[in-house]
Amino acid sequence: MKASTIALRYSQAVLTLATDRKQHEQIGRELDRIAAVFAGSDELRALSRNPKFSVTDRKAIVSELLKRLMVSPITRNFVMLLTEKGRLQHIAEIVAAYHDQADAQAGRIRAQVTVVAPLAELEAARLRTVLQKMTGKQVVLEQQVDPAIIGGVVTRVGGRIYDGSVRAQLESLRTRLRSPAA
Amino acid sequence: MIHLRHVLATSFTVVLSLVTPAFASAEGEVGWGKTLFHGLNAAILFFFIYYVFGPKVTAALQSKSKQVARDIDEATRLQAEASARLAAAEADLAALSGKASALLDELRREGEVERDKLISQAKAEAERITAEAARTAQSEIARVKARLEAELGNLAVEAAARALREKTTPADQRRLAVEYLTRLEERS
Repeated sequence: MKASTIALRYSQAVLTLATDRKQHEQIGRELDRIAAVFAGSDELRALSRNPKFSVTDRKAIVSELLKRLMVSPITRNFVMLLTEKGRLQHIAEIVAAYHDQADAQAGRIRAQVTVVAPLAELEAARLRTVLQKMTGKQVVLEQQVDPAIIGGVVTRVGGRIYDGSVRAQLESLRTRLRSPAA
Repeated sequence: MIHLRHVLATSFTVVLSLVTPAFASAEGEVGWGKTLFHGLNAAILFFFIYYVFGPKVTAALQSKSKQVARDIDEATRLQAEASARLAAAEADLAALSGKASALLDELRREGEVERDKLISQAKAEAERITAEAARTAQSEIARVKARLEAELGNLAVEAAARALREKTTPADQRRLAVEYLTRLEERS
């Protein structure tokens, strides 16, 4: 809950600034890249969490990273602020909150779609359409591949889950086999 | 008793008075006059003795007789008293025997009641243990059955998941996606 409060406060601040400059889409993409770099690097995650690194060391490393990523000044200053305040470990949560608020501001909603293989364009469009009809908002699909679901589709949107995976059907079968009535 | 004694004493005195001179005359020295004299002498002696000592002897004998009678009465009283005590003791013994018998009967009845109670309790406990054992056995059977069914279910599901992973083609994946979309469209 505390992390959510932190994420909301920082994401709201940067979104307001980016919207004023009409750069919220670009900033969102840059933040995604930075969050992806941190998610893929154990060293960077250790840097953001390990207290043996001084703030100066952290700022130097992050500054170098941002220079290589060639991000905008707003993004750069925001990430440096997070580094200085010791909130860098919340970057993924802050970026997610940024997108949620940007989507809400734009009347959009994001749907996390889990599949075994990426959906064809036709099916993706059908899914977007039906989700827009269900939520009344413009839907942005975020597909992620996960072979563990075996087959089918799992969609998370607006706090709801529509699980049409083979794994879910097998779990249902397992439950029925365990129940005394089975 | 007194008369008999007098007669015997007199007779003895007379015979003795008569016999003594007879033996003397047999030797030829004394005649019948002396004999009569001696007889008279003996009679005087007898009466003298009788009147001088007779009352004292009689009194002593009567006193002795009365003492013997008292002793007999005392003995009779003591015997009666002893008989009464014996009767009382026998009665007490009989009563005690009755009490002991009653007490034994009571103890026997109480023992029987206690025995019946213990047997009843033991039966109830045995039935309870048996029922508990049956319940435990049934519970254990049900638990094992459920576990086996769960294991079978798990094995079946895992086997199905393996088969589906191996056999599902891209066309199957697309068909599954289309079916999913159709269901979502029906719900919307």
